Amino acid sequence: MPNFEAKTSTDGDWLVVALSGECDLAVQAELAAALGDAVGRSRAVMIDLAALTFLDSSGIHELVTAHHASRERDGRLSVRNATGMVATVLEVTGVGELLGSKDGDGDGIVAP
Amino acid sequence: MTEGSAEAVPPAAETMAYAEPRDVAAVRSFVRAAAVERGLAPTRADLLVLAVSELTSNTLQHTAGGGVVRLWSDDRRVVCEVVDGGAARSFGQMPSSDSHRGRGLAIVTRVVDKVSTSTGPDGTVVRVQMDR
Repeated sequence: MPNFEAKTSTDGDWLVVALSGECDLAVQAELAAALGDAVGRSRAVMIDLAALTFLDSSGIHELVTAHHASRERDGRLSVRNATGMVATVLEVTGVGELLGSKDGDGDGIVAP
Repeated sequence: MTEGSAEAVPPAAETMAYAEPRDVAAVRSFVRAAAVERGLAPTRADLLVLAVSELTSNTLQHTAGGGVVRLWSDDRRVVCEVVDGGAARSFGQMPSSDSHRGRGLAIVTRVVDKVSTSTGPDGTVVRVQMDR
């Protein structure tokens, strides 16, 4: 089983969802629930991918779905700290650019 | 992208079956270990792993059953086949970044060196390969 986890915390104006482990079809519902909850609670959601080791199209699908849900609330959902294959998937799909993917601590992205 | 796969699967191929979403992580471990053992660089093996993960997930999302992964190599490349009971797959362009669906198979064509597929009465074979 993928050792997937989604942990939510606050960082200034942002609600941060830190993902870890492997994110695939087996945990898609868990990811959808975590992102849906975050978007419902805050108009500024930052997804931290520093500890995520795998991401595929099922996870990308949930990120895009949450992005649209956030936009409907005049909010914003961004990703940061993607490395390795996770960064590759975000780049290949163009979704990293859509979600303002940043290295480092996300400085430069302004909460809505 | 080519249709048909005239080459036979060599007897030395390693195989692994999958039947449900929680099996896909084990398929990734299997492919990564076998590809690296057969001399593929780890960063290249990770791209093959991503492709096979997408293909096996596609089986579980769009067909009634599971499937089998076969992996082998020769002096030029590492080859992996994903075999399931589903219909022929089409490998289209990457959808726009804010699109909801259609990325899985597009990712496959972007990350491996070659994709080919064949469909017969017993189902569909998708073959992906990485050159050494």
